[in-house]
Amino acid sequence: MFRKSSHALMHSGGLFRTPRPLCRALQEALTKAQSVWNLDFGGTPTVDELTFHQRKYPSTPMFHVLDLDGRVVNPKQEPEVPKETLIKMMEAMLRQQSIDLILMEAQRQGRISFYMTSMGEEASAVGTAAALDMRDELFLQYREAAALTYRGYTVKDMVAQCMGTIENELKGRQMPIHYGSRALNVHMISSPVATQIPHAAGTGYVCRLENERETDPNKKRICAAFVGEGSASQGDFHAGVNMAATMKSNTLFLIRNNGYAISTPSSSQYAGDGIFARGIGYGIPCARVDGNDILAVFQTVRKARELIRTTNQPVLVEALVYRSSHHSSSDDSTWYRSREEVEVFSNLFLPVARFEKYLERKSLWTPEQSRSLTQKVRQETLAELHRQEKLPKWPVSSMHDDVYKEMTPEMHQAQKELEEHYERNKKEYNM
Amino acid sequence: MLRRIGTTHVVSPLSSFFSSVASARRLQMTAVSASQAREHADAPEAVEMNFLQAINSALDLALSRDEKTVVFGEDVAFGGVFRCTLNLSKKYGSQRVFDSPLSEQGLVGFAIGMASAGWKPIAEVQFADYIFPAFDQIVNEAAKMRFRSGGHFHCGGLVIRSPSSAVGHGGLYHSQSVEGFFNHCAGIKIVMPSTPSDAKGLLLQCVEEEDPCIFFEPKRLYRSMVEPVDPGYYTIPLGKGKILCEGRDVTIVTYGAQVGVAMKAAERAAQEGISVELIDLRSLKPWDREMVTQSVRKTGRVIVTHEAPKTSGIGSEIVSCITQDCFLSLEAPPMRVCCLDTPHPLNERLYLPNELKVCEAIKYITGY
Repeated sequence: MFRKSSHALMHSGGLFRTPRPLCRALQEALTKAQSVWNLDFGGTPTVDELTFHQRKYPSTPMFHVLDLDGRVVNPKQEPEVPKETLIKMMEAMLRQQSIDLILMEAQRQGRISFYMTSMGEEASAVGTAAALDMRDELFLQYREAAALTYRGYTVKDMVAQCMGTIENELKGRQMPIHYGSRALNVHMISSPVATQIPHAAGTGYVCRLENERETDPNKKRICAAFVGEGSASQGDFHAGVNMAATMKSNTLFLIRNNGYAISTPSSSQYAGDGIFARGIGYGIPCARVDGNDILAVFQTVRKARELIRTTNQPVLVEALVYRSSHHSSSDDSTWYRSREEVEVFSNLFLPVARFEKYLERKSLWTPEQSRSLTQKVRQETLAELHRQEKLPKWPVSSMHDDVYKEMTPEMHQAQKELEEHYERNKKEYNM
Repeated sequence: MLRRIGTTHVVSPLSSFFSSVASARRLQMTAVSASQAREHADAPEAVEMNFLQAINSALDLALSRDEKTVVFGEDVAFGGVFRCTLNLSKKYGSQRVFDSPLSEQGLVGFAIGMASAGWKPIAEVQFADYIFPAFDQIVNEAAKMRFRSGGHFHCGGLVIRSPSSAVGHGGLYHSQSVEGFFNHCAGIKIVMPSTPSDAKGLLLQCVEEEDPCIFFEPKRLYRSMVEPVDPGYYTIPLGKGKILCEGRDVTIVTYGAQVGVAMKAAERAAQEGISVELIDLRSLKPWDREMVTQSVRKTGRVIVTHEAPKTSGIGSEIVSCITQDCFLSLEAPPMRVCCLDTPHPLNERLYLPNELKVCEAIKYITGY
């Protein structure tokens, strides 16, 4: 919806009437005082004509590189990406798509308890991961499994976590899709939304201090937090981004704006110019990008990372995407949006197909490779499901582990009591 | 709405009363062996410190021995509203001792992020009454981070310190004792000392812990409680209580500023021939269940007293454990002397579990 703009209301800068000489003393006094407010008026601290400022429509356009057919619109903006990275991005998206298809079906069959797919949002996650360094710390929300896949998280790892088997190094304590990997520098996902945003500000501050001491440029790293547009309504979003700004954290905030927070459309989530405009309010660099265009995401994030490192500021990037799937296996999205809407928008954007056409045009990829990889990963995922269904869960003795680094005497006692209880009633627990 | 007290130190009409608590404590300590009663206070170079100076000394030492330790919070840079961080910003720099924006969920979440990257943030929440905006970050994140990741991620370096408890005129939002809310949360540790020496050693232990710790500082003791403190580095282990005076007839279990109140009540009881054993828990989670059990088995009676409200206060947990551990020894029902189950009023004389209330409890339980 494009709303007709009112020019008067949009008057947010530009020329003002030259202040009369009589006001010079006032101008000088306010200019002297401006540092008290951490402001810089550029020499003109006052106006004599009252103006209310609003910044809503027209909305800030998003950066893009590829059109819907995968053609580069502006050759000057085509990023230079190594071939192996382009192929790796394509493979990561297809792998995630294939894994999602199988595991969502597995949930429907009752083989796992819960699942969330990344359908339609693979490009924003993979494009971001590809533009970052492997040592950069990632804080995910929950719909960025493709970023983990890009970093090397395996089908085995995912199935083990979704099933909570003995092979899940995270010990099967969290619901499915709550992945994490110390080895891959991806922090453990947790369900409370937005809590990871202030964490990313704090970790980004650590990155800044350590980067300032580090002499080897290749060892410098940043922190990146992935955030849905619904999560951005949480108080932690304000707290985290604001504090990252004042502390000059080396943090990227990547907003996946997919239009919905479960059933809540963005019209009930915010009234401003998306999430992008809020970053402006915190005084940090912001960009808006076509989240279905992986090259645009890649280029934006790469430039954002550079900006973070060179100016010691956090950066906010809003990637506009569409949630093609239900929110989760517990949701039926036809209750609040029409099938027609989903079909139209899903088929219109098709981030994976768009990139595939681009690669084909460069002779880096063929449809056969897509079919082959898809089939291979589906089979791999099915095989992993079958194999891990036979594996045991973590032992009863592990239930009290990791609450603290060391067990307290009372926890030792509780653990012992539980194990004795289990031994006495083993048959009825049927584990 | 006034959120923060404008002046950093308001002279309390009760300050002379609590100063006498400090001197009474010093006298009473002679009843127990010196090494037990005054860990590290009899060092050759012991220095007179009040509570806030002991905190400052602990923070100074923590910052000096580890470059990855930082101290921050609202108004921390200039020395803090209770002066606990005085001179630290000048000494260690603004990157390691700094102000945060006014947001408790922000500063605690930020600290969790620093700790998860291997640093040791000592975050200050200006009054315990304002820790609740960070409750989700503490309970859902800090406490569960190690567990939910099977030990692969943690924020063990996190320390949250906060002024706590009544100060005479703090009303509803500058007087709360909130430790009971967190006691129900697996994954964090809780400490509330009652003396400068203990405060310093326990705070340094919290910094060394590899689990998130919340350190509550009874603010009416900041200036009123003075004693010799070892200026060097030392720690006091968590989970260990302290017997302040030995007795035969009744055990009193308490912690924080309430220790002073219980001490005075014990003195009055002694004048009437009742022998009180007084235990300062110091560490609330984990707590010294064994010490309490042994004491109650000896005396046969127990009073648990704390400033937090009675219903669901930490005293409930302690009494339940005592009943289980000491059932055959109990000669009277365990008693709790706590604040009333109301919000903390401005006029708190009848609200607080004062010396008179504790004395009445002692008489009641020994005459049961």
